[in-house]
Amino acid sequence: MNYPFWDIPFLGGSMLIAIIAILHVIVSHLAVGGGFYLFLAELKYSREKDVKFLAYLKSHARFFMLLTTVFGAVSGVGIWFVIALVSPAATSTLIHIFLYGWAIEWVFFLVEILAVILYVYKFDSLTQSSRIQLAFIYMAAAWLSLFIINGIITFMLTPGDYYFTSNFFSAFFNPTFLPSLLFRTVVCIAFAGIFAMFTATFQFEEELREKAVKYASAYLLPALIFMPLFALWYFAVLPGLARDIVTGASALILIFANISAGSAFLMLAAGIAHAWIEPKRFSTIFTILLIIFASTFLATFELVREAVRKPYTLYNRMYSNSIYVDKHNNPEIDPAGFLANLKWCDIKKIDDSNLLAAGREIYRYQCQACHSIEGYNAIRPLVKYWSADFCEASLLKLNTLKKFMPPFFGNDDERRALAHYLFSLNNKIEDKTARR
Amino acid sequence: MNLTSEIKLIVPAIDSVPLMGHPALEKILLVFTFILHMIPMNILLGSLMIAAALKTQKLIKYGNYDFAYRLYRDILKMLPTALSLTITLGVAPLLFLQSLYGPLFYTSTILMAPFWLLILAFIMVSYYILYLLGWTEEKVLRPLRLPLLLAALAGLLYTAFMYGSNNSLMQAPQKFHSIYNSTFYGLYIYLSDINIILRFLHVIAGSILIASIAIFTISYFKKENDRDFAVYTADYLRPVFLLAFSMQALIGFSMLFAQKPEIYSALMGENVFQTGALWLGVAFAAVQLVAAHFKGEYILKKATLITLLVSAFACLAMMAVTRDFIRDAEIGKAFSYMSNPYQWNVIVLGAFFITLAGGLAVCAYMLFGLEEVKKP
Repeated sequence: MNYPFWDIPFLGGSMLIAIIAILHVIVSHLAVGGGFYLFLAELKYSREKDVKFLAYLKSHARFFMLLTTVFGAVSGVGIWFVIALVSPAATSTLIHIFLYGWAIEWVFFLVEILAVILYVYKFDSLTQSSRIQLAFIYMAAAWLSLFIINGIITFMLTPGDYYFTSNFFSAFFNPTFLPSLLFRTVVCIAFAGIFAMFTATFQFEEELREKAVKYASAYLLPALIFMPLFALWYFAVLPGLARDIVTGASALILIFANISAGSAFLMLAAGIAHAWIEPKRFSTIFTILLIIFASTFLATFELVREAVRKPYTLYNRMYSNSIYVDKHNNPEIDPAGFLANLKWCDIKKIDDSNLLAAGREIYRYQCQACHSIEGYNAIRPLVKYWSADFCEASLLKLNTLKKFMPPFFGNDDERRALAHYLFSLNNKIEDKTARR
Repeated sequence: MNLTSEIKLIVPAIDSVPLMGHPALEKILLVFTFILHMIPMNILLGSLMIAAALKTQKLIKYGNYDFAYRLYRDILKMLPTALSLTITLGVAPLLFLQSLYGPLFYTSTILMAPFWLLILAFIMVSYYILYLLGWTEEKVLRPLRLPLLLAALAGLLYTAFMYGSNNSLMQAPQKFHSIYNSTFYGLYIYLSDINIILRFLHVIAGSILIASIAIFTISYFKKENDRDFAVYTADYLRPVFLLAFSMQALIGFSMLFAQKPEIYSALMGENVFQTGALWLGVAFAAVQLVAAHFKGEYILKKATLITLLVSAFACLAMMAVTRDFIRDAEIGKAFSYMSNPYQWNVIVLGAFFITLAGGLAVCAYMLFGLEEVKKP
């Protein structure tokens, strides 16, 4: 094992990533979709010359900037920070493959940030034509930023033939690239619509509020029509195991997938219907409800997307516990055993005196990436009624019993040590070499 | 087994996936983008300290109250933008740092993980405080304004310190194993190196220098409309600059003398390139010192402003180069970024450089090419 393991009690690394990533994904989708909204709303103003709508657009843009430029940017950096802490090996591989892809994305990000700052701070001093240009630049840069990031994220699940060809473009334009890009684009536009509905409800003048709400609801239509199609396309090109996971191999993931689809439908249908049937009674509370649906949809979608990648972090390259799949890259399956190649652990040889401590070390590096001891995805209740022998037998067939689990790596002594440790979680066993 | 090979054993292996360009190219990009990041970062941190000084009304006698308040407001208004740009421009050097020094950087980050992650919360809170104070200060209760300002400053100082601490720790791979065995939770802050404190103070003093030049530049461009204010700003910032300069000289030379003998020798003549970079930086600092002494009409001359800006930028660039050299010298033989495997991919590299050029051109257009409403 190349890197030390950061122990996060109760929460676990994967949940920490999920918390930061979900917050970021919601805001970043809004940031991309918001570009479409700013540009098209400027064009609407240039056609209609409604100064009240322009005043609304100005306040909307300021709130938008406050949310996206810093919360979006910092949480984006946050994902980077946290994946590097939890999965440094996978992060390193991604950076080696996509360094210049990320660097290109950074240029778009820089343009995007500058455009929105100038758009907001110079709103009154710029001519309308200049504002339209700024809104267009922002829209283009933000969407191109999604274009790049989408290629990197989808690669993790569907690497295509990159590991055979080492071709950057086959990694980037992988099988799920296009359906994911289209899916996310309509989601971004829908999020912009919901956010605009939210800011519209703060307009005191009824006529303006009604107009802004109805206009914003149009942004939900592309998602209502195309999202199911793009989702099906995305599903169709997933690896077989990933499809199995989402269709029932894991009950929890199936439930999440259904919640995601249901929330998406509610968000879109309720938003459009209310805006057209009863626009006058469109309230802030209702938009908050829509935001909750939107957040639930995207959060569960992202959880499902992450879950179907199991047992890998990088599909067919690296398991969730950062152990390489490829034997050439995998000192962990050396006959000498797992611990012998574990840089950060002092126990190299197992005997009766250090069995428990060795088991704890193996647990830390092979299991704890996904299982906390008693918190998120806790191991203690999972093995509560297991005997030590049953633990050992299960470890032998781990990836056969559950396809979304990585296999156990190590020799017989190490498997016995891990089984012993798992058994000790619910049964009192004397620890002769406790380090903590 | 000697010490270096023991350290090599504990330093994680470099990823076998090749980079798309020679590591030296990435090193150049790392230093270049780091310099870009340093500009808004220094402006942000230094301006915030100057604003806090103005707000406390204690540190420096400010004379004309109306002008002092205007200066304070002008500074506050630019801070949220400076913070946004600092974050945005900080992404690229972090990316190149990870690609070249990943095994060291990831490990040191894991060793101080919670403290490192806290940076995010502090930056976010600081931004929203700065926005509140900069653009809606009248809505903030008067007794809360100074504490909020100081809280934002504390958050950013924490961030600066943690960056320095992490970067110093990644230079000390010989300590990784024992630190990790003392805490699996990442509850470690690296303080056992005098250079960390000196570096932190160096950043603080340097940021005041850069910020005072930046603030002066902004008021310079307002001189056509309000010459008195521009003169006032120059007069107010001069002692601030000189005080920071004195601190910086003291800290800078202390840092030089605190270096390991081999690094000290390299900077004092043994390595022509490194000696040149350091002392050119010092020379450019001296140029700033001379220019900052101008008073009255002379300080408002275009040539003075250009001298200040060019020498400040050149000094910053030379110090960044020196800093980079010290990092590699500190790491020594335990790790070399040049060991990263690479395989030229001209198409992707070309796409990056074209995008970079295009992006910078679009930024320039947005800043200088957009049409403004004609004022009556």
